[in-house]
Amino acid sequence: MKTDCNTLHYTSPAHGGWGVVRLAMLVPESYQLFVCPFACGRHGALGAIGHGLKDRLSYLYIDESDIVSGGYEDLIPEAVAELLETLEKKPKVLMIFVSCLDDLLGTDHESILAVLREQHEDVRFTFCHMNPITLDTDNPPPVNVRRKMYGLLEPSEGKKRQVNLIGNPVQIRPESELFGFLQALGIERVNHIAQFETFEAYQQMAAAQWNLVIAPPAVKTAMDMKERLNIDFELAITNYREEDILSTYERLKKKLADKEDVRFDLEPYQRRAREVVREAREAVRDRPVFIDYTAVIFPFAAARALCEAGFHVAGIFARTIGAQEKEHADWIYEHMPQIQIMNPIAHDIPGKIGTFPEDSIAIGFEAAYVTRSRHVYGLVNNEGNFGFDGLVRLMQGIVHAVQVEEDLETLIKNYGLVI
Amino acid sequence: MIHDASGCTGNYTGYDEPRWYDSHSLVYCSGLREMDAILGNDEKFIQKIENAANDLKPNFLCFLGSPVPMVIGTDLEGIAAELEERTGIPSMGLATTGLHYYDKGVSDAYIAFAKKFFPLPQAVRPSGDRINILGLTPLDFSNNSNADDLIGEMEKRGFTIQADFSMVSDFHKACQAPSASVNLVVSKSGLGLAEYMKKRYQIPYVVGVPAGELAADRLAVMLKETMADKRERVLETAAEETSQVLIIGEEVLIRSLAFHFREERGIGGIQTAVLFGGTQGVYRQDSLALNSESDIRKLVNSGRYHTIIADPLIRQLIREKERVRFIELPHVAVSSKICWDHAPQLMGERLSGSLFGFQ
Repeated sequence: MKTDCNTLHYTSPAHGGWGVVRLAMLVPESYQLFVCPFACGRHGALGAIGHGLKDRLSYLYIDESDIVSGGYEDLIPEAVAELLETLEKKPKVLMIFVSCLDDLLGTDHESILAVLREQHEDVRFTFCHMNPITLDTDNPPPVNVRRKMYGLLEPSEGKKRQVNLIGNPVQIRPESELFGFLQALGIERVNHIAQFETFEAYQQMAAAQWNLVIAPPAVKTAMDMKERLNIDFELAITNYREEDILSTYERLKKKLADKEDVRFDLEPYQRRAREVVREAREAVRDRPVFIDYTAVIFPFAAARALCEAGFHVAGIFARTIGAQEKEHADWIYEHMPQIQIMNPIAHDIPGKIGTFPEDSIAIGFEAAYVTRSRHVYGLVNNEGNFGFDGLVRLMQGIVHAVQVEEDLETLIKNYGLVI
Repeated sequence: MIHDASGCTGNYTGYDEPRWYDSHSLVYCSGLREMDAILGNDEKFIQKIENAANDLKPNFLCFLGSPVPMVIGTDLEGIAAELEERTGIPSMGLATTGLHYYDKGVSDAYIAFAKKFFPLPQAVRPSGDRINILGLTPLDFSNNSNADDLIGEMEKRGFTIQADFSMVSDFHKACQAPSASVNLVVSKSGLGLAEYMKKRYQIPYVVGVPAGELAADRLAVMLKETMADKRERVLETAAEETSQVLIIGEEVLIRSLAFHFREERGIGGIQTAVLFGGTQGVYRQDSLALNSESDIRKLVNSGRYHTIIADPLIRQLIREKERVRFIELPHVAVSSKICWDHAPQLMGERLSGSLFGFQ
């Protein structure tokens, strides 16, 4: 999904997500060196302090003379040597992050990497990008950083009936029926990057037979891994419509099952989800519901799911309509034309603040910021949700939002959003 | 508008502006993208701003740079001139680069504002006890009651505030800032505008923060004296040969705190050390300048100080923490949102009650 560039962007305090620092920290025993002007480094460093990760992060600040003279390239090996000498525990991986500037300087990363690999044989190096300037390209930072993280996996001999879940920084809740379902398909083990404590253990992911792509920014990663590590992949993006959930499971069954007769009954999970949906609808009654693209990956599809379940969806905050959910957006336009579709970064957003019903329920921080609702479900990027359990959790979150008033500033601070 | 991809604006909205949360301020990111940078497609941004300006009808437009516009040589002033031509709205372009400290950007912005909106010197009529407060930024004074308290301390002592830059400023009052008879500079960020107004409007300035009752009283006296004789004055305390207390921070504030400790509480031996550069030539004796983390590390571990007052993040640089009394003085420009919720109240008598209850 490409970002909308046709308007000046209003950047609310609810804007952001994990950021590349926190995301790349998922690689066990890794360390990060940012090479950038200090203004760029400031918010990554503060974000890292907020998340307790600052001890795995250092900075090489560059100035005008380094940029103009090209001395920037020479500084990196010097800084790396100094850093590795200083660190008490040598990292297994050093991820060198460059910022937007680097895209315009034409830095020869490969030659720098060759020097570094020769000088420090026991450390793996990779260049990563914190360059939002590429947000409208096919390789923006959320995509690039995942490619680099999984690019550290080394080819493994032989494949195991294992599945990697990729793209989602937070592991899917163990309560999800996904795990039982995969087991029924004959999958012996399900891997997620967050479960590994050592870089060596992380390498197990290279031996998996399949990648399930839980979030779109990992599609290119999956393609890379197919080519380089011979790991086949299937999309399994979280969604909340029963029909879509079932269709995802159907695709997974076709792709992964080791035998034709798979015994796994999804119906009890579906029934339970329906029951929880009904309870949530009773709790919410006619309150207007607003949902945003930071809470769920497909806001139009999620809004449709809520509409079909009888909720009063009043607004959708989305920056653009991705091809994957165009069908759902068309449905919304045709059947629910009264729903407000708003771009949370549009220049007229500040003027809308304070114009929404006070009893609104906001799903997502952007929706909460603009509506000023105190009934907030602070979901971010479907974290932990999958399948019918994901639908149950969405409903529980909505019910909680009805029952408990929240201070959005505190919620955002506790979550630690980073642009 | 901040001319960047979003990360630089994220610095501003997420980390540099404690008031942003409840703000309806019209601060935007241009959404700079790689191809537009490579092709120098300025028209796209001018068009976006024109569209927004026609809808929003702001008092003025300001276009700020970031590292990428610096590298590609974007003509920010030229873009501003084009915008002004097209929209009829006064416009400014500031060549900020992300490679200097905040006080330079703030200072440049104040001066650009002054050049754009202040009346000609011959049209200015100074009036009585009016003062401006220059450098009252949220990065230095946070978002608690400090700004209002500072203004209150001055009003309590008979002054009328014409304009404050930047916490509570009203646009129209700020445009008429040269009608004040003296400027009170409360941080380094305000010094450039004070010098500009001195040269162009012959308005003198006083440097200091009313941190503590005595400092507020002394500043009031100094302002009145300066109104009368047009001579610059600074709030400072006599230099001492030895020091056991170290205060690290923004120079005008920490000098004023040093005055409070020395003159109001009788605590001597205070060393001031500045982050982000000092105000050269303003004080009789320069503060120590800390230019890097390594400088800070050396100083705080020198063994010379029994008490260190500094931003909480500096504490982690102290090796033998148990041997040093550390008093937190959060500075938004350093620790941002990590600590800005417990920024101390510093003005007038609130200082004694809230902060530094040490002897």
